[in-house]
Amino acid sequence: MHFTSQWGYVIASYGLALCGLCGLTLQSIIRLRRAQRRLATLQQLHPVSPTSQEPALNPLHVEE
Amino acid sequence: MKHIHHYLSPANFLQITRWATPLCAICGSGILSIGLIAGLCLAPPDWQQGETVRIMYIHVPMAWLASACYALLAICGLCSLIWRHPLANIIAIEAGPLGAYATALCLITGSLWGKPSWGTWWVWDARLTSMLVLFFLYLGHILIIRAFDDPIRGHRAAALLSLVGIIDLPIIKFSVQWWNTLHQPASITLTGTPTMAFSMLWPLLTSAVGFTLIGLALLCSRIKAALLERRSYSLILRGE
Amino acid sequence: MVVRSSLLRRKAGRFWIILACFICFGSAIGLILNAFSSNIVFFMTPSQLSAHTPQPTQTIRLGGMVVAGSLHTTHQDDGTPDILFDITDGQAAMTVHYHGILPDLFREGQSVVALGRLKAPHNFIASEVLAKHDETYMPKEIADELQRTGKWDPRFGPPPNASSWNSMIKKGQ
Repeated sequence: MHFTSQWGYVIASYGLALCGLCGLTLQSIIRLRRAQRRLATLQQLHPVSPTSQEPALNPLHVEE
Repeated sequence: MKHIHHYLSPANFLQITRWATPLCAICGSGILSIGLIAGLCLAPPDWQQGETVRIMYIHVPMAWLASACYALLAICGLCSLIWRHPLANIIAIEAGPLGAYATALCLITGSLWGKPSWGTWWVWDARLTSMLVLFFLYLGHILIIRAFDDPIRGHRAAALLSLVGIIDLPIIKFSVQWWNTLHQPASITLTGTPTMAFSMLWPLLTSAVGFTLIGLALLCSRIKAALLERRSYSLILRGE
Repeated sequence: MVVRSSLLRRKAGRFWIILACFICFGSAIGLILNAFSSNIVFFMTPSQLSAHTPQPTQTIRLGGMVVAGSLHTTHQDDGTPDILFDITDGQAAMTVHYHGILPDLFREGQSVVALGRLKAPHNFIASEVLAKHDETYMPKEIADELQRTGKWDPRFGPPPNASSWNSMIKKGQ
């Protein structure tokens, strides 16, 4: 009886950790897929020549 | 400084994530499986705690990662405030939820470990309380960085919070030495020899490395998604 | 060039402001923690308690090692055990009276924390007893072997250094 209750706590911890990890992984895979698909569609709609230096291509310029 | 700016430019970072994410993910899941299976099956039970000692192989890596991730947030905050580095804000936004997950898991597994060994789920001793404070710091950071309509103000407020909150890390670390706590002192220190059998030590270190690599893979993929989202956003703005 | 140098100066200025704020804030927190350190401690030791005795109504936590041979259990009519044991920190000792079920890790030589009131000097009535475990993790076989060969008795103190376990067991055989 004592033995099983000890394993219960252990399995609960491992289960929580692995479920959380799977959730995070799944979420980031779905998000990345969606972002890639969206960007591809937008790039077809608004073609930008690869040599252009427009800031729109790189919006993360240093603010200052 | 110029070189760091160059290498960490968003475009370069996208190139880095292209190989870093799968590398970290594959190595991390392999190492983590070895560590956790060894922790569950190979490592011996403790002489007085019995099987519950296996919770350590989750709890301790999560505690380390929670602290390390907060240190990363603070470094990002510093880079954001001083150099206005564009990537620093993105890393801070994406690292926050991962750190909160590690802290929550550390607290929950700690509770699951405390019940069978100490006889209680929770006590308000210095170590547990300072870890709970870290969790609330993460929650505050997650909320505040998204709270403002003007993202720059949100980044600034979150950077300040992360720098102020870094005080909590030494308190967590040294709480078990400075005050009487129910939580035991650290078994593994940088200076001393570990107070743990090698058969328990190696699964712990293996799973810690595994969790770290998987955390890095998750972080890289989240940053990549954020960069792509921003690129889409700027294309929409440009099209209008 | 002028723009660049003023930019650099502004960055350096921001750095020093942040550093100054950080030092001020850090020392403030340090002073607060130092001032409240007696309230932050989770438990008091028997010698601290005998140094300044609290009110009999005040709830306090008493922590220390269970003295070997001091544990006495009697079973009440309702089935819950009535327990008497001594707690020591090496300098002073105090008898704890507890009515209830002890945690699994409770044993003689273990560090424990008892929540309760100090009814009379050296007589502590506990309403809750928690076991504290130390930072040593030892496989059962090693613990059994060390005890069998008489190298270590868990009732009388903490286990030996982990790096010496292997040599101690080999010598014992």
